[in-house]
Amino acid sequence: MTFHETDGLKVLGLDGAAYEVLKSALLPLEKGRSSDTREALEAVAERTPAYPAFRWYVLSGILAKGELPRGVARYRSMQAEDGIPGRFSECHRFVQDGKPLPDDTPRFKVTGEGEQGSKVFEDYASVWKLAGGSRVYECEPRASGLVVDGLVKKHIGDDESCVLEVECEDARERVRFNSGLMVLGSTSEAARIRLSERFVPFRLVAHRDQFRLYVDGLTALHSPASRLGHVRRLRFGLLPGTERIDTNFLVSSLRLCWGAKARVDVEDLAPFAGFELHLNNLAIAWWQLGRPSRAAALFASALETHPRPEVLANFAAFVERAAEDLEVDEPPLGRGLAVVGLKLGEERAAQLRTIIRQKRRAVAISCQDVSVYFARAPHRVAHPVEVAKRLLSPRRYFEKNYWWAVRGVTFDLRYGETLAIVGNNGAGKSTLLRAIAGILDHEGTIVVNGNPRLLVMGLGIQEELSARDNIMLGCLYLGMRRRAILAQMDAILDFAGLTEFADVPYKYYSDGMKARLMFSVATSVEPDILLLDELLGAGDVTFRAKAMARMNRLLERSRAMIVVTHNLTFAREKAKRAVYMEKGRVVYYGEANRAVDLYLEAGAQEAGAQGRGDQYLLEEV
Amino acid sequence: MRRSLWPLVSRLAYSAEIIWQLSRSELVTRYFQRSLSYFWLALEPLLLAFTFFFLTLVLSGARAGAHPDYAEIFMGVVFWNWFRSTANAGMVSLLSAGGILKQVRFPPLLLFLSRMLTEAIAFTFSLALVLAVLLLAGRRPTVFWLAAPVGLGIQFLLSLALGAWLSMLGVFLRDSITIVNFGLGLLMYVSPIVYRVELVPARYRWLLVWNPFTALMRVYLNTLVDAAPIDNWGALWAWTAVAAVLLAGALWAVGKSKRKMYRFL
Repeated sequence: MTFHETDGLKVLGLDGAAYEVLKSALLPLEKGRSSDTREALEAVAERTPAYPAFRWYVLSGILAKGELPRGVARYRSMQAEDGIPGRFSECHRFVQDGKPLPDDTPRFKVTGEGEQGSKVFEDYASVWKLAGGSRVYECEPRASGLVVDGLVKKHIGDDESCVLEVECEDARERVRFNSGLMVLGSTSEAARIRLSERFVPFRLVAHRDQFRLYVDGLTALHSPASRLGHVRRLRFGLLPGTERIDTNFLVSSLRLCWGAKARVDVEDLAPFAGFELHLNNLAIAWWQLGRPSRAAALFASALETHPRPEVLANFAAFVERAAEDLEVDEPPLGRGLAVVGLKLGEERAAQLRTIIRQKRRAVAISCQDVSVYFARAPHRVAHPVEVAKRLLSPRRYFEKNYWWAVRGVTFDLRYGETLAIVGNNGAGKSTLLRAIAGILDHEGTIVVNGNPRLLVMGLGIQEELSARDNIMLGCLYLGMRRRAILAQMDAILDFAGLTEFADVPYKYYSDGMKARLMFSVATSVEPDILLLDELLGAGDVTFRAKAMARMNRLLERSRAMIVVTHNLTFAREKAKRAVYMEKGRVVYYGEANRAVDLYLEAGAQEAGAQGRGDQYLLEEV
Repeated sequence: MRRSLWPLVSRLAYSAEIIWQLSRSELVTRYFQRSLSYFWLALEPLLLAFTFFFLTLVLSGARAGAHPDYAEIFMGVVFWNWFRSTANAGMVSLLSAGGILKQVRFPPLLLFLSRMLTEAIAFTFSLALVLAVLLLAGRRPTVFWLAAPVGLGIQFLLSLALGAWLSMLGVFLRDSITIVNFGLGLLMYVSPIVYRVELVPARYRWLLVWNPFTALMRVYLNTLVDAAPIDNWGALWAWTAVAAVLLAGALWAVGKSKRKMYRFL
């Protein structure tokens, strides 16, 4: 799923350079190659401090370079900017359902040995722990909720020997740190981190009926919903029973706060100011990168933290446009839809659920008893004598003067499938395709769930115009916008190998150049439902290889495709099912190999009868 | 409100882009092959005007005063030529784009409108020449020139309506091309273009009421030649209403019949 770059920029609120860096940074980040990414992001963020989403990348960049004191100072200033101390001071007054803190204010208990430090305030504490050692921190907040902010960096080994445990009256949660992941114990869901490279900021929240773990501004994990009760105990350090194991290099800074308001709204749980916009931006970026499931999870997290109207609107738009790729029963999406129900009304949420169910499982194209007829002599239809004959005996006139190009065709094409239509010339293949594309009037029912686009060669080509002008015209006819065409112009010319001849009128081109240009234009769009009518076989051998590669890319990106082709190898390899047509009727509809075999058999029989040997068999090569 | 309007605005912008690009391509292809290229935009009306000037004033030996002068003839011919070329272009607009309409689902209306825009652009060059000729003929610009666009607007509306109907007729009934060409030729001679209404015998003048060009020419003569205000508002309103109804009907009919065109293209 893609949308125009300008739209993306608009939603992201970034300028072109910053957007490109963010986009190029996300993929290597996902693959763990983050150091270069961080450097680049830091540089961009320094230039564009107006984007709150970059603040965490700045921090990570600083820490990745090993500037620990500067990084910690920055982290603290970010917390101050976010008003966290003020929020928790206020929370203090609401502890225990609005009653003051009990006399026995929670105390820290530190056990074990190792380099460490801590600072305890009235309602929150900061602790840090460095390198190996068995130091363990414990406290008993006795609060209605708990927030733990942390920075963590860990090197190698000692998998899951370090944990953060929160024990409530009715539930318990354990976050395990290992060298590549933070794992939420109750669900075993993991957030990917690269502890060896940098500090990773995280926040664990225990509130109402759920534990939530936000990691690095990229991931939010949730425990199953159940009653938690008041927080009894928090423990950070070695896993019980592993005291003898050296934790190797665990560097951490934890800031523990407790006493969240009893009646706090869900939006108060945002880890830091602007977090929801950050998640929203990342969601859109992932969406643009073709990862809708990840985008859905991020959107859902954004909605749960602080659902501003624009985030809600973005989520709704995302669901509508990416519905084919979404599973309504996925927990993150379910949570997002629940928030939509809360904020925009259940009717809207139900509408979005319906869209997903319909599109995901929908039949992309359904043809039921489709027939197309043509007049044998269209120019005579309006002749007074013909009109009189038609009025006198409509049925007889029809039988005599019209013929069926397609008769009684029935098939379904589901999303994710490719359907080939094979058959001899004049079998009605292209006519059927045009009826599906909405160009041609027809009998029977054709239901199309989506926006089909018929790609044809040489659309609107004008001999007097240059390649540039013909590309503009051809792409306009295919439904592209002028700006998008201009953005793609050089790529199309380059693909056709006509950059040098871009301004030469088409009529002076060689046949090969013409074919290359026509193919390049025809394949420059990537619609949801692709209808192809013999687009293969343009140009010389070199260009054919390029053309086939582009065709394969089109195949991969389209959600559903019907291809009319005489290239039977293509039909066998790319199509799951096929329709074999003869004289306008379906001879076989089903498995592609079987359809091709039947077509070849029929061809061989006919050729044999006419003494042409096995010519048909050669077609398949 | 904003949500509901945006898709419409976006579609209109997209349509405008297409119309402009198609029209631009049409202008390029129409004049590309000629050595004088875009100069033909000005030369064509000049040659046409000369032909009528020669026929009406020289060959017919018309008396001064009884006939309009050459500036009037030129003006009338240019305005008529716009009407005629618009009708002709409309008639072939879909027929000539058969290759496109048979291959992709493309709004036929945009093809038609692009041809209309092409003719309008060509006409603007001619209009500039008309004003120049009027100045050369001693007509001084007056405030009444500003009212001339009223006539131009109504004429454009009528051209659109007629062109839209003809575009469909051209597809479904090829014979219409010949019939319409004959009809347009006839209409020109029964329009007060190369003669003034006063020359028509009184007992036949009522027939001119049914000719839209009578009302339009009166507007052009009043505003551009005689430096007088428009004095036939009733007729103008009536023709505006007729054009609007015809145009609405044509748009509806084009929309209804677009999938049937395939068989006839």
